[in-house]
Amino acid sequence: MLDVQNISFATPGGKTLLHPTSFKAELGELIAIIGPNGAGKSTLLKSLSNQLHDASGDVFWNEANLKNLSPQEQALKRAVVAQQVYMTMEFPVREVVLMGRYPHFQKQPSKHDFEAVDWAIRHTEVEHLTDRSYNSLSGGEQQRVQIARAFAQLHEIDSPGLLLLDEPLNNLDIKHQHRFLDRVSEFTNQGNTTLLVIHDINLAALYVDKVAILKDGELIAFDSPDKALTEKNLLTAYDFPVRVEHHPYHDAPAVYFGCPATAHEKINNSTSKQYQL
Amino acid sequence: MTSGKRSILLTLLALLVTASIFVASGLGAVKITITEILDILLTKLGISNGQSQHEAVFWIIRLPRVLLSAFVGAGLAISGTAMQGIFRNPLADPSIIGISSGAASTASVFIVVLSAIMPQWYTMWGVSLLSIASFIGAALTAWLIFTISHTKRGADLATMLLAGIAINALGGAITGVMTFLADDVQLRSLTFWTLGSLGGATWQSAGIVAAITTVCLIFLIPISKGLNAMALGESEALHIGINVQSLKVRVIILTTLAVSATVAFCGIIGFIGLAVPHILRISFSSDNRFLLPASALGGALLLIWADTLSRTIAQPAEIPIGVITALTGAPVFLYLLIQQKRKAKYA
Repeated sequence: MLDVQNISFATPGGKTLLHPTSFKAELGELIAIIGPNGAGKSTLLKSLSNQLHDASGDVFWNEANLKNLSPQEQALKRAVVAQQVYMTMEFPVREVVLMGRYPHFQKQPSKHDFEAVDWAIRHTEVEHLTDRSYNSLSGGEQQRVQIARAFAQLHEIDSPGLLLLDEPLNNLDIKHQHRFLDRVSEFTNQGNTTLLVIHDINLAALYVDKVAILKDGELIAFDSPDKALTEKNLLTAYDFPVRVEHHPYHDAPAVYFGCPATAHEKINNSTSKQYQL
Repeated sequence: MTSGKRSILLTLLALLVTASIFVASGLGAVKITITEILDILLTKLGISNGQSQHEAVFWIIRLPRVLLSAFVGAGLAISGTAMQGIFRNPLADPSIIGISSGAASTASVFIVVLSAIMPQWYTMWGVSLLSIASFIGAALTAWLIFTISHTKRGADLATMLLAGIAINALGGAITGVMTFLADDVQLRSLTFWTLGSLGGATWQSAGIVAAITTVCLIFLIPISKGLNAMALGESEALHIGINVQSLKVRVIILTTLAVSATVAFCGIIGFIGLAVPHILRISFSSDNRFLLPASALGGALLLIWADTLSRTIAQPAEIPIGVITALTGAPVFLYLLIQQKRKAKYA
């Protein structure tokens, strides 16, 4: 279980990017972090990946405080995929995926490491790219290779894994967005936990177990999609007219931005009037 | 690159270096044939009892010089490779970013000041004190460059190169002032620093540089995985279990050690740390598990032949080694800059 206790972060200049935030995520839960630009989504993800040295608060993963673990110990439990990774030297794709296995071996990768790499490459459908140089790939292809690297890292580890993804769908086409979310839910259902920052709320609503909504560095909702994705919460977060209905084909909420709110969810007449389009 | 292919390439390079040591020791004003060399070596080992006339030339002048150039080349090339890894930039090179010049100018101040104030000390402890002085100079410069150019996304290229220009200019100016103040004897020794020469090679200097280069290799090879990971970015490296902070500290200390040792004995020899890793990267692989040992061998190979060229091309005079390495290295540097510009356009 992921137990986040009072995590907060302020820049050296004194600007608070993340107010003290606490929440718990169970094993097997896939969680979307949504919110407008500058809401603190990436900051939250970074503080969970121990990237912010001066973040206060504690993050426990299965009772272990991440602060007390060495980078290698953390890497054996948690994989992170950043928004865009540009490499400074030319490396073939296979070597980049193998880097996910770096915490698992000392000098030479074992047979098991190579198997994990092959599995991750098949799993993310990047077989046709393995011998190409990473820097020669398109943005979407690079993203898929980084995802393959993260899957290789957490492949068959002996304790539950934590996967943190910062806008992983950015450059992916529609098919690969869905393929990728399928793979991530599959991974999560095997007793792992995944947090992903995402902008496409409707897409998130189809796959995730919980939604965390951030606004100005504060967690304003943390619940299942149908409970968190209300017109009130979304209007508060995005400051833009929104209508939430039930998805016609899936059992999930469907969010329509730029539409007037539904009659039964008039939040407050004065605000909603302001947004009459 | 598979580990099989890696071993084959490294073995080939090692054989090439060994062969070059023999051939290069034979070349010069006095030609020594390979059979003579073998005869001398066997005699030294007490196996044979040959009486080669060239024993002194080979044993006292040639062999230490060739060995020194091999180890200096190896040390400079692995320093370049490791620095490029942590700076996340293929343009990082001890001579370009000013570390060599930091070491040399500290050493030149040291030569002039110490030999003027305490001449007895200078004659007794000169060499070891000089090495310490150049180490301190190199370490301070490395730290300065790293602090100035460090950003969240790795070292900033423009800042790093500009800082290098400034430090090289400052180093040049300090050495200039020292040249002005120096007497004739000191002057000769100062010229040696700024242009670089392997002419002062002795068994002692070859031994010290060999020891330091070996230590660097022993401590750098185990972190080749970490250097690979750094290509992904600092936080990405951290996420795949690399202790980035300790990696950086280790590289800075070791490369400073290697560079200052070579500067202390041979002056500034530029471009080796830039050209060798670059050529190996484009011809074979950026994988540091291959690149680190291969640069050591490639650097040795390049400097052995550069030095042989410098002492044979205009016999009996010697062309400063720095001239030869700059002639080969500068085009590589320009090519790299153009490459980076192209990449930046599409990034």
